[in-house]
Amino acid sequence: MTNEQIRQEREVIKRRLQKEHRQLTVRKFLRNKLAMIGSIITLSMITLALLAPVLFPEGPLVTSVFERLTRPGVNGYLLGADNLGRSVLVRLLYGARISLGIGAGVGLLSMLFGMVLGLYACYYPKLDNVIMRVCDALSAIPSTLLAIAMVAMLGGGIGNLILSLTVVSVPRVARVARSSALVVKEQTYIEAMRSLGASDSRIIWLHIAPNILSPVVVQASYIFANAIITEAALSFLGVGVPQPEPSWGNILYDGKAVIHKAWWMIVYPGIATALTVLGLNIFGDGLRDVLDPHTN
Amino acid sequence: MKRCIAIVLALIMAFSLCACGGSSEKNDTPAAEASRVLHLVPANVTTNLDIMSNTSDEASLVASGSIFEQLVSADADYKPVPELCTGWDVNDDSTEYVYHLREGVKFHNGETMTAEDVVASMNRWIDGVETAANFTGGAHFEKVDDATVRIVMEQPCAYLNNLMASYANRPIIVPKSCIDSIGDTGLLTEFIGTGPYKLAEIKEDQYIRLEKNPDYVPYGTPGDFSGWAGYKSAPIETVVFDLVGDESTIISGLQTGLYNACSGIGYDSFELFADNDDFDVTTSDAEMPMMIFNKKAGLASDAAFRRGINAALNSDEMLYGAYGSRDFYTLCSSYMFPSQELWYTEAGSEFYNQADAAKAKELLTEAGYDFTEPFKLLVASDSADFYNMAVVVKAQLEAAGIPCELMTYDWSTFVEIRNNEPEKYNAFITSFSPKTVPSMNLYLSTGWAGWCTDERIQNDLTAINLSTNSEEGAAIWETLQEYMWSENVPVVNFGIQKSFMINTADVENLGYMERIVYVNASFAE
Amino acid sequence: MKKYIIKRLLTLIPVLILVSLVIFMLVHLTPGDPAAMLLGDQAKDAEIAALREKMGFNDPLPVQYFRWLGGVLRGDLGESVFINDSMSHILLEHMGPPLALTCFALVLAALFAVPLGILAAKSRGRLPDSIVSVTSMVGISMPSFLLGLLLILLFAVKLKWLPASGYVPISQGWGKHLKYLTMPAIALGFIESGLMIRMTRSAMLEVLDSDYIRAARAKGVSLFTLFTKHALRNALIPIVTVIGQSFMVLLAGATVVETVFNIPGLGQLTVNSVLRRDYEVIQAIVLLISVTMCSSA
Repeated sequence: MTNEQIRQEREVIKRRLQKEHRQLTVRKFLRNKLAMIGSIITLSMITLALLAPVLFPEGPLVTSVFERLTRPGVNGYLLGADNLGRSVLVRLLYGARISLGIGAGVGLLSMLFGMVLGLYACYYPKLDNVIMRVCDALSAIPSTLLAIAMVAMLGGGIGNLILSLTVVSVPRVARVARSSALVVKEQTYIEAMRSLGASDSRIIWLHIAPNILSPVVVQASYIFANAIITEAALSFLGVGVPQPEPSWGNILYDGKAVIHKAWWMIVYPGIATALTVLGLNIFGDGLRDVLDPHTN
Repeated sequence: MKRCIAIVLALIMAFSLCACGGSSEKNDTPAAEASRVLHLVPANVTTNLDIMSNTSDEASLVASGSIFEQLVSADADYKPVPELCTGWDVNDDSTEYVYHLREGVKFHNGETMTAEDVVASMNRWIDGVETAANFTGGAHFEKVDDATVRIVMEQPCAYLNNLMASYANRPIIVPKSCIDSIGDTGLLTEFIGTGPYKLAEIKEDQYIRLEKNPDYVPYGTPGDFSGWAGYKSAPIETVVFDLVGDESTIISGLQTGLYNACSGIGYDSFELFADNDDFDVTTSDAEMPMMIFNKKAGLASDAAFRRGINAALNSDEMLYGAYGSRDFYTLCSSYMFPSQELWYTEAGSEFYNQADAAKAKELLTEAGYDFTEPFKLLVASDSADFYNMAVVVKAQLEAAGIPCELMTYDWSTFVEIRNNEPEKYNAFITSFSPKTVPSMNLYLSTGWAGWCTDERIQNDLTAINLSTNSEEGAAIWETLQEYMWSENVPVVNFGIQKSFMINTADVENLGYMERIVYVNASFAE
Repeated sequence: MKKYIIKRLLTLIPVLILVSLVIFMLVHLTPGDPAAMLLGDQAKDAEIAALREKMGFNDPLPVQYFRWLGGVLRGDLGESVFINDSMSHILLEHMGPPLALTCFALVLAALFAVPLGILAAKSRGRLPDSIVSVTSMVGISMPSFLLGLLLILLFAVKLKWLPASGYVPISQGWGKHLKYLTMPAIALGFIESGLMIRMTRSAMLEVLDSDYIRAARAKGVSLFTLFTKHALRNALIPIVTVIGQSFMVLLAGATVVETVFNIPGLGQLTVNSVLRRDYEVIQAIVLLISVTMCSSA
């Protein structure tokens, strides 16, 4: 066999192995009940959020003051009306767009920045100290408090909220990325790559990064869930998404003022929040089980 | 196992720490003699009791008329009544006022009130409060003899006593020594007054406790008390203000008898108490919610634009959205309250509550508005009523094709932007308590957010201040209000909000004027 | 050991300086003016500006920062412009309620979680196990402020069994104290109990799988004795460790719960201070918490 043939042969085997591995993972994922339930819940929430403008083109801000606090099921208000006569159902669905959007944004951004920080910290010991001390400092400040202060400084707004929550959660991802990367970095094939003269960024991004992806993705799914909770808590404290945009936290905030009269303004957004977070957490657990080589 | 013991130890220590903290308070806890203590709940938390500087309603609830008294106080019709003086003499053109002080009045620290104390207190007020300085034209009080003070002004000032009786910066009389010891901030550090109650303790974010002043000598005739002035008998020994700040806590505290009275809780909670025999509910005209246009910068600096916005507004819908029932507001186009017969007028009422989107469009087109630049409405997220009004305003304006952006901020940021960044917003919503003279209304002043610098308005207000009799002043005001609705529209009045006080039925003789007046409150036998 | 502690303290210094800088900038760059808050809504521009100048808020930020840092190094945490009290006293005053709340929440969570975890371990793979797993999952996913709201709705508004919110110190009686703390403690403890159930379950499973338990079983020890005397005693160590770790987590989580139930603790003090821009108090609290977190980590 010529060198060329060997190379091709190897390539074929490599592809087959990769495919098999992928299939195995997918099958494992499908077999994992937890992961399935989690993704079904999450996906249906996302679908509802996406469908909101189609189902209710009039939007979540239309008030009809004289029908305020209509009970669920009366006058076409399926889930009741809020304190300004806006439909709770419509606000809930549009709220899903905001709450899930913030969660996803925070999850993705902190995954990205966390990986960058973690990888470079692991690869360049000099940077390590600086980056990790900054992470220590950021995580030493209680996260809710830090988020409140940041939102107050930057001003309300969905973009600023995503930014603040990302800053709060990046250290967590960075730590996970760094510790997994440290393990990968010690493997012989990295050593080999280095002696072959591969550039640092090639090693970091093409050879270390893919191997730490799974713990980072699992972490990101928890951060997604956490961001939804924190957003709701901040909005509930009145420092989150600026009213009258209907995030779930904002609906709860309005609901607390009329808690003696309108249970539906607390219960429905409450269920939506808890269910979504539950879905994401189950999904994260399932994903961890699937990706963890120790389970079968 | 060691770890286990350490944790258990930590738990025990934590518990004992709390317990220690608790037991050391035992002697002075407010609820120690629950039956004889009056518990009141201010709507918000404040502990700066220097009510000459602090203009918040809550500080006045605690301290005004109870800890501190003034030369002149107000009765239920906002008429000035002598309090720390026996009366006053005014010359014909209202440029000289002479006050005859009550004798033998004692401060809480045991000192007797002298003319020096009064002069120092009144001049601190004139120097620290812009409106006061405007009214007196910079003139100051001076001592005539030990029992008389006077002020001589270069300009007439027919309403000096009205201003003293009811302005939000209250001219409280405190010992000269307290004023001399004021530090850098210009705020009183000791709260020593002449009133029937003296300050016993401030526990931050928890409570303020007042005790009866045993040396207090009431004025007037027993049983004769109106508004804020008259005979104060102070039957209850201890009054505690629970600084709660959270509405559901206030409600459950009232229901369980922890608190005796409160005002300022949300309208949706009214029904919980209205039909309940264990509680009394008193309503009164409280405030006027208004939209204040920013006349310094941006879209709303143009009067034609403001007229257009005004045409689109539906006050009824706004007030219903905020207060939830017609029982809690009345539609009213006058800028002075109906109870103030002298000033009340319906001039310009055809421009109130127009709810006419077509007319608004027409007026705005005439004003050269392009219907793309958003109308920016600044609103504080902490005050639910104003916030709800703002949401309705947004819906109404957008129905007339005017894009409207709500700028929602927490209270501190709201105040910062409102005061210092006029280029950022076009209007904001807030409310105002009754003022005895139109020129006392903050929203018409040049030095407060909104910046009402219109020449005609300022000239007319000065003319009202300088008028020597009230009919003359009222006539000027009537044409000015007409001008405010039809031409200049510096602000838009939505109507009158009614507020209510809830108290447990066993408390008698609570008064309610803007705030709870408790100096004569007693417990039923 | 000495060396370790010194090294630990040395690495703490840059972190704390960073924290102090971050929080100082955050607090001072935030729009809002303590002077305006102090004078009430109806104060005029000129009056506010005069007070600002007097309080030193017009000095350049670096000057203010070093003035504050200098004070901190001398052990002076600054003075609140709103609260007429020494800073250390303010902080101590607000630490009691969250400590009481956290302890109570921890006790409730442990009382709830440990038996459930044992039950799950005992019936591994069968129905009770699944039910317990779902419960713990729900617990982990339930934000404490939301659970708090739902509890208020049920027990205070509908059933009227418990007060909706508020706090009564122990000095007014244990009964009253616990009555007011029950709902907040449940709301706070539920999340942690989810974690505790999991830990208890896995710890018990590990022990049950060990040889000496098999030996004991073979010897014919009754099931009850086996569980209480042999298994639980050994599984207790990791369980108690988790409970201990939960303490810090719960203390941090108390912030939002305090606000929902209006408990005068550090969390509420923080939120109030942020809302009224009480710079000195915010800085002191954050520094206090950061030092605790760093040194316990």
